[in-house]
Amino acid sequence: MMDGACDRYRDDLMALLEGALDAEAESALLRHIEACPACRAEQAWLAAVGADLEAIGDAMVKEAPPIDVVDEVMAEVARLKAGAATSSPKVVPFETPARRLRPWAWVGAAAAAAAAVLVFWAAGFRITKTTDTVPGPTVVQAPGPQDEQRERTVAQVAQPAPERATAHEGDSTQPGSVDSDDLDRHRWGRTVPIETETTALAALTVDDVLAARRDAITDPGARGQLAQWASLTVEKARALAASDDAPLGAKVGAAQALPPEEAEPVLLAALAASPSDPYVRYKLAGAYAAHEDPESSAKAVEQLTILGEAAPDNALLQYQLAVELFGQGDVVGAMAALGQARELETATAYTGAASRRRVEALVASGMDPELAGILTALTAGAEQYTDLVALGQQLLGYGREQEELGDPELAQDIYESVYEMGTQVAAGASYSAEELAGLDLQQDAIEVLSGFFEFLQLPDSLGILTAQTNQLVSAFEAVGQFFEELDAYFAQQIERSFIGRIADAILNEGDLNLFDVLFGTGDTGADGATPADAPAAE
Amino acid sequence: MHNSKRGWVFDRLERRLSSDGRTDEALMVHLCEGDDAALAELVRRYQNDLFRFCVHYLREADAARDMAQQTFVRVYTARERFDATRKFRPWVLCIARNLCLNELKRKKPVSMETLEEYASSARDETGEVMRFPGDGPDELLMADERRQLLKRALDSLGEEAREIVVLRYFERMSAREIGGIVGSTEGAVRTKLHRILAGLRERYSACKDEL
Repeated sequence: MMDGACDRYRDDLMALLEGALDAEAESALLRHIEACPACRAEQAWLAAVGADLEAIGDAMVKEAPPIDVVDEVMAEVARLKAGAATSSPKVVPFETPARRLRPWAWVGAAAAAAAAVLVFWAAGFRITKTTDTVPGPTVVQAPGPQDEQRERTVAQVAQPAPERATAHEGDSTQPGSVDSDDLDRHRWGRTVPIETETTALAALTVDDVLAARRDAITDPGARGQLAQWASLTVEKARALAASDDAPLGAKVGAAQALPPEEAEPVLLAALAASPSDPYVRYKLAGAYAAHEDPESSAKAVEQLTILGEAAPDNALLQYQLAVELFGQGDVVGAMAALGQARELETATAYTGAASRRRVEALVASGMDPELAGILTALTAGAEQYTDLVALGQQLLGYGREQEELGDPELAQDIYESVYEMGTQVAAGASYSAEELAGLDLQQDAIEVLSGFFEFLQLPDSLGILTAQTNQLVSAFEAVGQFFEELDAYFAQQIERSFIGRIADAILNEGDLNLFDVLFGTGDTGADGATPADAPAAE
Repeated sequence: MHNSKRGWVFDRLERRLSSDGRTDEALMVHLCEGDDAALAELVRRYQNDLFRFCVHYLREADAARDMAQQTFVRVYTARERFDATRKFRPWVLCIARNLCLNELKRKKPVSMETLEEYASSARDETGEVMRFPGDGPDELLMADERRQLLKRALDSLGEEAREIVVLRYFERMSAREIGGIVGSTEGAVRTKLHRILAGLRERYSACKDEL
């Protein structure tokens, strides 16, 4: 057996036996082998086992006579073409679900009349969602131009950023080209910083922020303004990262606004100081994953594995692990991670921890602490929303890849995992942005699965999807109601001294729990004590 | 081994000589343009390569034949997605591989004990690993027994490990080619392969210690 000193020759030895070593390396290795009995024995062993294995493979083939399937293949192709000529869905050329996707179209013609437009306010960004209520019985509709048009109106995120990941609208035409450019921009862990107008920021007050929040109920521009105010510029983030005086938490917050390669050393230093901090490790894994080269991907897997052991209940880590493993071509490992993820109850993207670090960074860069708190609270979860939806799109992309490569069963497993991920994200959400991401993930999965089942002509499966869609519409309506309450709350003149408590409640408990934390009622306190009156009542 | 290697090379040469002069990639382009004869030519060129490939994965000739056939149907249905600037062979092997892995998912793994049996048989009376020169009649018999054990040991490997061994030794692919199929790097494939083979050695040592 080779000892530790000879380990470095291991790969060369394998390459030598493969005949793939260059002349210089080969002669160096042969010189070593001549002088090293252990490596000589290793070489002999590997060669002998290799010869045995080749003999086994040859014997297996020898037992199997040559085949001739030309006629059978061409007959099958002729059958497919004949079917296509009669417009049977079964014989539509095998295309990605994305291309044949007609979200909600399959739920029935009557649904169009009952279309409901839900306009959501979600922590600094707005989502306009056009949905159809679902009548029974289900009628699978034939594709048509109107359906294509409607596809583009569903689930679009209005301005400002983060934009909705729209990879499913692109056309992935090659096996292996899983993600569109759109998706690359939204790859999880990758931050797209928004440049801040520093002059306006210097004079910013809490009252300005509250006014913008009121305007944002109807004005997308005001929403954009809030998001901008709450973001560090790259320059400021760099200055914080390089500063000797900035607290570690602030540096971690600054890393959110840095490109992955610059965020990495900051996060590594933070992890050295706090190795059990899940958020830091999570972000570090994300920074590695953003590089998309094998070495970085291996590092991301390493971090996610460590984190997965420390936080075994967080399904999100397993989904991210699956994406990395798919990226590495380890389909078996990725499916195992998905299997593990699906056994869990909830998935969380550490939105609270991220927001609190953001506040630290804004304060360290000179912003008033109260201002930093309320700005971050009002925009909390935007980055996580983008990352979660992009993660789902990546998984769906890998599902499409498997479909294209001839493995519909595996593809279905992946698509269903994305649906499951959506339910887990929604179940674990403390922030409305997370919950919305969970619902959108479910919708994305249902859209893909509907096309998939339609293609395979599985009416029973489509029926199940219809039931899931009904549940989803109800969930969207419930979230929509929450957003309306939130809007109504911020539409009022809020007591200035109450702002700190609102920010703390959101940053520590999540905006979904805001009314519980503030009023202990689960509502806005409007019955008896209005939100504006609430501080006085306490 | 040498004879079979010659056979392997001959098969490929024969395939090239019998071709109609167009490259595989050009045939795919023609197929996309509606020329079904191009697909027939691709089937002729690759059917036995793919059949062997599937036999090595599935270990059943009938299932492998079906899988080879299905692979070509997938080539047809996914023809628009083929990138003509890339090689046809790795692409079609990827399709076949995925179909085979899907099929294998339904099968249960075999016990690891057979690995130990093989490792035990691969040592001489001094406890050193045998070199298997294998030329004389007695040694051929021993080699046959050894290979039977090794074959069983192979069946006991996980699919991922078995796949690397199959591609390297049954399909005679280079680490680089294997990396292209399984989506890994050349170096990572060699490292994995060495680890798999070293697994035999470790089990052998464990057996020796128990004696």
